[in-house]
Amino acid sequence: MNKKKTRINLILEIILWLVSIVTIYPMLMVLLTSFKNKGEAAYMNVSLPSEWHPENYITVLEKDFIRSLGNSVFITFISVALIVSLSAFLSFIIVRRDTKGCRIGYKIITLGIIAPFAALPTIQLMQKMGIYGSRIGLCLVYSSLYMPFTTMMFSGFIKGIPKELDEAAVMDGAVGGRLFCTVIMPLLKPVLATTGVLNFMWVWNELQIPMYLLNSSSKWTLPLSVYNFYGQFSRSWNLVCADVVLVSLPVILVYIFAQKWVIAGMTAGAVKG
Amino acid sequence: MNRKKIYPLYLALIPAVVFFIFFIVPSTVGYYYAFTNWSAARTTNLKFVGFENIMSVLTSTKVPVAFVNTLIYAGVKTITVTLLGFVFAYILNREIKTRTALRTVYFIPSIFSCLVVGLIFSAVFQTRHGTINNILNLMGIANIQWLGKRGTAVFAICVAEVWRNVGYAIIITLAGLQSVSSDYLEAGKLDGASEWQLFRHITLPLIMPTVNVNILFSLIYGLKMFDLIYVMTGGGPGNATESFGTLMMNEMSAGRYSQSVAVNLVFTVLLVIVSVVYQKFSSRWETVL
Repeated sequence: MNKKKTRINLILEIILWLVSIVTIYPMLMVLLTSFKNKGEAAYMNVSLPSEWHPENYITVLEKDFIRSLGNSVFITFISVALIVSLSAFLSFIIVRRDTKGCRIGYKIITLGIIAPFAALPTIQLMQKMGIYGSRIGLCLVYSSLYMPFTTMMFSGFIKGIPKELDEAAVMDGAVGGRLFCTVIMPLLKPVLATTGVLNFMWVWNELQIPMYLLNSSSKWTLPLSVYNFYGQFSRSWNLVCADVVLVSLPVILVYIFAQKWVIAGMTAGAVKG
Repeated sequence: MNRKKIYPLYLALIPAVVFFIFFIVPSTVGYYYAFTNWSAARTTNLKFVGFENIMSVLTSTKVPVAFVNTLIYAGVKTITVTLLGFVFAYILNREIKTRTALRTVYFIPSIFSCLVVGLIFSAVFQTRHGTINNILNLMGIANIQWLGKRGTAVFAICVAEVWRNVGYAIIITLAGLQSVSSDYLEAGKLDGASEWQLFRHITLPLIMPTVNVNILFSLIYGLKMFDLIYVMTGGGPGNATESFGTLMMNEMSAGRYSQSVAVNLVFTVLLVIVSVVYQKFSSRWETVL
């Protein structure tokens, strides 16, 4: 019986590795293509380049790459900081006050997960406020768009923190902001990490919102930089691939170093009890 | 001390104001523009035109096509990803030596930007020298213009979408499977249940809540899909592969602002209906919210 089970597992393992070619092949193709010359790069296959062209990366880096990188870092950093801190405070008050108004507010906020981005009305509103096209305006929009999901995660976690802890702190005279900072915040570290990492990946990868809200290419984020090489008529696949590798590198690094938090975050919403 | 003093509302003031201004206002009163004659040519002195735009987008061919496409994208993705995620997670939950490595390999596509995935699959489905056509050529089949016709283009977009999302479904389902206490399974085994019976009567009911949430999120994000289509076909040829997301963008680029907002409004209504209907089927959603 047991021997049979081991054999089945081994067969399944081999099948899984064979199927994983579907996942690995395209990624390997992009990596290899990024080192080819333009002519060879038009053939979409996994083969070693006849000559290695690492200078493709130099070409990409010289094409406003550093500026886009700066924009991406700035926008992502500010947005994630805003999303996480605003959601943390909001969830703390909503969960702990627990009045009827708070519960209604929570329902409205979670509607934000469902409703689509109201693109033109947002643009119009921002034009009226005089912040259309600015990076900081984009950060504020991100904050409101990603707040619902993050608030949901924080609320779930704060509900699990016993109220007795608050009461003990209140005895010592800590209320409001001080209560939050001294008692709740230190306990929130795991959610802060997960929501931070998840929001980083989402904001970094976002395409639709910056396309609507950034009107000049000087403010473009990194993913948009690929359009320098991916035109309607001329496609230099070698440069496109080099750009794709560079754009994906930060997310891959974050994933490698923060894998635990990414997985925890993605499963926390779905698996609870 | 009273609860309202311990947890003062002003702490939630800034987040509430940001959310109100940048989400609630555009998503409610902002839809006023759907009822005006706003366009690239007319940006001031807007006139109220009633339901004219809504009627015109609903009766043009664009919205029905986008509606069907959006349902296909979301439906195919949700069904395929859930089933595949289930199968792979079930296998990965067995005693397999390299399972951590396998899990990572299958999950990696989920961390890429949709833009990147879209580009990769534009290359894979490219007509001249594309990966798929290369393979077909080897088998003696002539090149297919994958992204040039509605049927094949929609298929290609679905493939890209599934490729990106399977890993995510595997991780969630796997976490669900691992949360099933082995005590139940042991007890079942002692009573002589077969592997299928264990799965059908113990594992499945226990992980259904996880699967339900997974399906709902998959549906919502599938309906909102924009990036992959935008990169792979731009909604074309014509408007054949358009989803609501790309239709909004293309109407705006064409200068038909009020029509774009009208599409946006129709889309919001659709999403709310889908979520409400799904809620009826899944009580679990209640507890998550």
